[in-house]
Amino acid sequence: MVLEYGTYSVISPEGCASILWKDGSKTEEAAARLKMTAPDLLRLGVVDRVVEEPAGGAHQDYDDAARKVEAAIVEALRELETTGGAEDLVEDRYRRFRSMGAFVA
Amino acid sequence: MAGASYVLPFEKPVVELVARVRELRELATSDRALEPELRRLEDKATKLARELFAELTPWQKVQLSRHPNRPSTLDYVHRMFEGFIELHGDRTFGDDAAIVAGLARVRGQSVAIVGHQKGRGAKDNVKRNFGMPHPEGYRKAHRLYELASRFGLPIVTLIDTPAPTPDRRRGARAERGNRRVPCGHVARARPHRGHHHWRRGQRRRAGARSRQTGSWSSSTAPTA
Repeated sequence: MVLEYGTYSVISPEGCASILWKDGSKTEEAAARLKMTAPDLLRLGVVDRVVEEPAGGAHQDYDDAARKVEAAIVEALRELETTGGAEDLVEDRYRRFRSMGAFVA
Repeated sequence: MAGASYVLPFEKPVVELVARVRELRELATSDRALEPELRRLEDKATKLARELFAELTPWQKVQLSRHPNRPSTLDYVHRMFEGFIELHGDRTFGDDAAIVAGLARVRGQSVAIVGHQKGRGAKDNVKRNFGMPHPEGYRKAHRLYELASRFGLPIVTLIDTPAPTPDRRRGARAERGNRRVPCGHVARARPHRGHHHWRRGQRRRAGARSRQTGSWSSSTAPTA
């Protein structure tokens, strides 16, 4: 799961721009190309859920942010109970990681 | 919320909107008659805030995810869980304040919690190393995963880190730990999608660079 305004990437946009294009001013482009925002991650199957944040972001309302995250975690734990044993989970995890990065352009 | 205000240029209109709603809410506590009107304004402001943020570019979202006021692991843990007991140390080298780990309950269910902890303010950030763990931090996480697997506890991980620490001394610390810790352990629960980075961090040898680590993430917390 990822928060609505969370990001996840192998490298920072700054690092990507300077290594790939040797140009630190291309940070914004790198941020877009890295597909690191929550909706991108969901689309690419890197996460299976985006957790909504309070209006203006989690830092505007800690209590509300925590309530939303708690609800999502409790739901995930419940789902976990109904899933098979450890082996199924490991197999599921393995398949998930194997499928990452493989998609039709 | 939470201490010194730090406002990114693009979030200014939304911050003002949220502040206005908060003022109204305080007013309404003294006068019940205002309640319905407040509700309407609140809904409107929330909708407007969402519309404004729907337009954010990826780079702006990155900046938001790095917002210094953004809640980190402990902010969530103290609000979401009961009876949190923090466990320190990796039983090999030392304790890493950039990773918080422990046991707690959520709605009666016992869980193991592991998460990155960023600091608030300069002093705290030095202590927490800006949420960038050293090898002992990853070994602490590993220790908790093992503990959880022994007791059949689900693991909740909150990922909130710029990267592992790119520190030259890190190599020696990693070597030292690797003699004791078996790699490739798999926990029972299915915590999140970023697990590879602690394992890699743990295996890393002297001279490795931070860009070779498996993941870079910021405020992806919480992943569960």
